[in-house]
Amino acid sequence: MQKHIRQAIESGVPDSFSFMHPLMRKNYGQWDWHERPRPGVLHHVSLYGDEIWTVRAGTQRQMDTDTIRELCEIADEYADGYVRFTIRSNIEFMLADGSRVASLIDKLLEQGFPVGGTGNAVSMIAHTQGFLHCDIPATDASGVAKSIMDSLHDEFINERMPNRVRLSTSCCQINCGGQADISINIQHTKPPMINHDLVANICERPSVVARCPVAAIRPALVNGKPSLEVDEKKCVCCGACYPPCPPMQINDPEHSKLAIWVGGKNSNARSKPSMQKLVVAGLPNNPPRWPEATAAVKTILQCYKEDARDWERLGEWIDRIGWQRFFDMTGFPFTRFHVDNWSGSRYTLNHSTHIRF
Amino acid sequence: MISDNMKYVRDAEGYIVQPADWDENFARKLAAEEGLELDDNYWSILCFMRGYWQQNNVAPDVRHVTRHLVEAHGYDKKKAKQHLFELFPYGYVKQACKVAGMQRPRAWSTG
Amino acid sequence: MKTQHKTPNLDQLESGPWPSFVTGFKRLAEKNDMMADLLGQLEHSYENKKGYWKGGTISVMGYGGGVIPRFSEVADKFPASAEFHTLRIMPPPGLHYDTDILRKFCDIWDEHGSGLLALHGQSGDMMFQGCSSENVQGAFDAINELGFDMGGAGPSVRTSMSCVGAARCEHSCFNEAVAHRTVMNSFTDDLHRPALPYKFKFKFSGCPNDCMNSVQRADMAVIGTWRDDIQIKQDEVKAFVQTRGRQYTVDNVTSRCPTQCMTLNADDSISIDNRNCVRCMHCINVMTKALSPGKDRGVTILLGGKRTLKIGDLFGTVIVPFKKLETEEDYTGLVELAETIIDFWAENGLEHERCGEMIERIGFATFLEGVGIEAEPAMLAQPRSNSFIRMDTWDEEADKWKQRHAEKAGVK
Repeated sequence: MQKHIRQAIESGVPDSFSFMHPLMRKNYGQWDWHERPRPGVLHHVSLYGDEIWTVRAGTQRQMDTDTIRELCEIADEYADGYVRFTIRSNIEFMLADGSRVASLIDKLLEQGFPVGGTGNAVSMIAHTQGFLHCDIPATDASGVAKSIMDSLHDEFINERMPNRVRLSTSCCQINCGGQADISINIQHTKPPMINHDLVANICERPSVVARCPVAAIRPALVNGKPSLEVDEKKCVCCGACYPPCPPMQINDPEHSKLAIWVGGKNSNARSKPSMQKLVVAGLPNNPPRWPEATAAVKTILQCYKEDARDWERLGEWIDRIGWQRFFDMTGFPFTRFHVDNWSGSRYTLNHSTHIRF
Repeated sequence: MISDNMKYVRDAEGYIVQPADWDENFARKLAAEEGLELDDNYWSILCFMRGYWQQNNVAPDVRHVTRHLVEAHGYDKKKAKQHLFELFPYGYVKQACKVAGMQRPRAWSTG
Repeated sequence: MKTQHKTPNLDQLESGPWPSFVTGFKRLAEKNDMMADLLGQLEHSYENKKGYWKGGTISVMGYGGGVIPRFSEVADKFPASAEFHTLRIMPPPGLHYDTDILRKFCDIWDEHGSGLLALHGQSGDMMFQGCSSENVQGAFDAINELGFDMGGAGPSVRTSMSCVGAARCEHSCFNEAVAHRTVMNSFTDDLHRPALPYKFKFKFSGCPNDCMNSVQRADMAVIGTWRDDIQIKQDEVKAFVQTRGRQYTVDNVTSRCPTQCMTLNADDSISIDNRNCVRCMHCINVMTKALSPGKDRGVTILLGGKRTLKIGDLFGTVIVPFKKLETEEDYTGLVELAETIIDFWAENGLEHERCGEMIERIGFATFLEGVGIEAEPAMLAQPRSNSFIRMDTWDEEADKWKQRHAEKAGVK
């Protein structure tokens, strides 16, 4: 059993400076200003007068080693053998010589990597694992991201949105994808289907009971076996019980739907950070291209693009025009499900006569 | 001291299916599989874990076990944890929980 | 070589302008049976709209976390990918690489794993995806020899992220890379040997633009800021106004200030009432050449951000309004603060309860008392508006405030 006896070297987070482009190392903390000469390109100037050009390209995130080697070859040819990645899986090549930017872009496009994602563009979707590697997914992640980015490609390679647009997807209601301007998330619509024969042998029942956010789960004897039962009137179908108790299957090919949330913002620019809000639900989980979810995202982006002012993030735009007009413009139905019943939700109601007519 | 193989139902990864079926022979057998030799250091931990399970019907967190080591053996908190992971070099969930006859912990499947 | 599975659904994800992960998978499948069957299982998922992985417990010698075990539930159909574990590996702060190290990773992963690498996961790890149980230790040993270490998983301190920061951004208000490493490498034991109530995430953003989304995703968010005046280059302001026009400047800079603290003067210069500036970054984002953060820089620390499970999404909220991060002592102070908070949470948190949820349960005032931090107005959006609280020690508390103020005045 114990044939490997090597002790790990607990080195922790490695030092970044040896992996950093020499110009970035030299000018560390000394940058003065920047501009964006074209979509996908940043030009930074340091207090020492040094200049660096960054070319940003989209990747598939889930990469085979040959794709990474291909990107390495490009980096060796154009970027002194250094790259970095953004939080949204875009790759960045840093150039000391601005005159080579155009040919690097040609090279990237030729190899199939779109150049963009800077400034007021739609950047790559922050996404999770889905069917590829998660143990509790109701849908895929890489495929959803690929489908939506295919249809938003023009908005990635151009900077023509009012402000930056950040997207995310999540394959269950834990929502690992995170807050974003537009978020495409799984929303289960039915309580878990319980396989009572398996519960006692697999699940620590008190832990599962404790996991439920609405106290809808209680221990029960079913067919003479210790199991768990769900008060379906209380259940919010979140799926929190599923990871600690796989026999409480929450995922359903038909009833696990997609919902779209908008207006999440982490930046402090202008307004304080904000959470995303529900816009539309009940969209089918429809691989391999998820056309209904893609269409809804495009509708929202179109209205935002046409109506928002420069620098307004999606949520700020809606705050200005009001939700009534947002629903009118997008044509999405407004339902009782948009009204929050969770604790603290009274603060989401309108306690004024401020109403747009 | 060899336990009857048929007596304990185990899952695909070797965890006991019914913690109530656990006994000391089972612990010795599991420890041998993991390459561990059970001495008093181990038994102190295993007895605490079994006691916690008897009371709560759930496996204790690691921090509960280290707290036990602090209280029972006077270790400081850091030393207690170090001691625990020296005894179980592949980790608490993979080894301590298995030998102590806990169901396979699933709290950390994801997220 | 294995016969390739038919993948009519996934094939449709090979067209279109965005780079296709499926094309890469197929390239791997030609030389790697594990990836051939992985494609088969993924297609099976697309057909049935169901996932087929279950978790497990796999780790490397000496550590208790960092490997995400995956066992297939349909291994009878796709035996070569029956085990498809992920190794989470911590990247350098700012996600910088040279091509030499990336190629070494590729070689290791072609030898020990599937050849599939995700750059990067949502926590900020390099995700080496697709490893058999048998190869996990060997793969880790090879990566570890290159100076890279396992990331976090389970109830532990998790892998951190920091923005590009000082390496290429003029907005940077502290040394993100050094802060990131100093803090994280003080918690390697808590990262590798899970023993906390739940996960704990640090994120480091160099300025209030918070490009790491730390306020919504980090238990402890360290965000750069400054205390003194915004630096103005009036000649660049004038150049900006002359190029873009006064109208544009009013509509997009001065009038967008959340506290209305900016004025565009008649001579095309700008005045800022810095006492009322909340460091939102908007004007600096628009006028990158003319405006920059002040010189007295440091960080604001927010605590308790997290996503939905279990009580709903929470923002991090201010626990330290301003802290310098320059001297060794400053960094030690940051690490000690994190230790105090994590210790308190490890003692008082319920199983599977994030730090922010614990604070919600016990109350922020109680939490502050527990970790020995005095309340300050900057921690709140507003003071309480309901009167249901017992306040018979008001005089003592008021004296504490007066004393703290006197001390502060004395220091100056």
